[in-house]
Amino acid sequence: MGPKPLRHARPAFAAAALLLALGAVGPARAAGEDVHAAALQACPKVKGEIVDLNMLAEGLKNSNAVGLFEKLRLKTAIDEVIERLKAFHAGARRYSLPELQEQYDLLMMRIAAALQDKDVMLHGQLCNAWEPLWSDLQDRGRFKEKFS
Amino acid sequence: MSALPMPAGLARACAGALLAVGLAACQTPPAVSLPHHVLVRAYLADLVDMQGFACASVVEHVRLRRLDYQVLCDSGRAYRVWVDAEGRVNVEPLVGSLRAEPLPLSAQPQASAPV
Repeated sequence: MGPKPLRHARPAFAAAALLLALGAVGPARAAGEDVHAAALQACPKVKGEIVDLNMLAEGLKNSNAVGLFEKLRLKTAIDEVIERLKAFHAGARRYSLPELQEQYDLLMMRIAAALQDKDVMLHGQLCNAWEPLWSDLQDRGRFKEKFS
Repeated sequence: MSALPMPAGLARACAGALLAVGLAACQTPPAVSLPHHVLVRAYLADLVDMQGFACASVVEHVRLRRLDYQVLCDSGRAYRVWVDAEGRVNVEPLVGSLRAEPLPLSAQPQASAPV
């Protein structure tokens, strides 16, 4: 089965051009660059910290902000990111390190979006842990220490 | 000819096996080795959808910088998805859609450094 057909589909380059062009005229851009450039620079100060992805998964498991099905989905997504990083550190080059970082960021965005209005404490911990966790994950030595 | 009754232990084992197979079949297929852009678009579609904007799938995306994207959904609607200073994920509809005429490529934003 092929990809879902689009109504009024146009060449991909036209869509990409539209997206890029929207960037120059969209309301977010007009509001100012700095709003976006300052990501994660003002994480809320909260008690407790998340020191690894397993601890984050445990926090999600105990949070009332996320439903059971969503918990399973996020746990699977966390495990998949760990598996891909494990493969990378073992020498596989299916994904580059920048690609893995993007996948990690998107996973964290996915989790942050689920928590941000429902579990302020865990969301704050996640925000504070976002960069340190990646720092550990990308380092082969520290990664192997945690996941071997 | 009458069938022999199945021992209770065997019946339980069969039921357990069927349940395990059923659960395994219901699980999401592993996304461990999908192409990178497919993974990215799946996450972005989820993020747009979670904020209350219908987006079954993302057909195009542009990464403006780290934690900041523009996406085009299969509906033809475009959104900006970004993380703010407090770590909150925001989704904002952008003007225009696939039905609108694309603006010239000369209007592309300048590439910027990651956060």
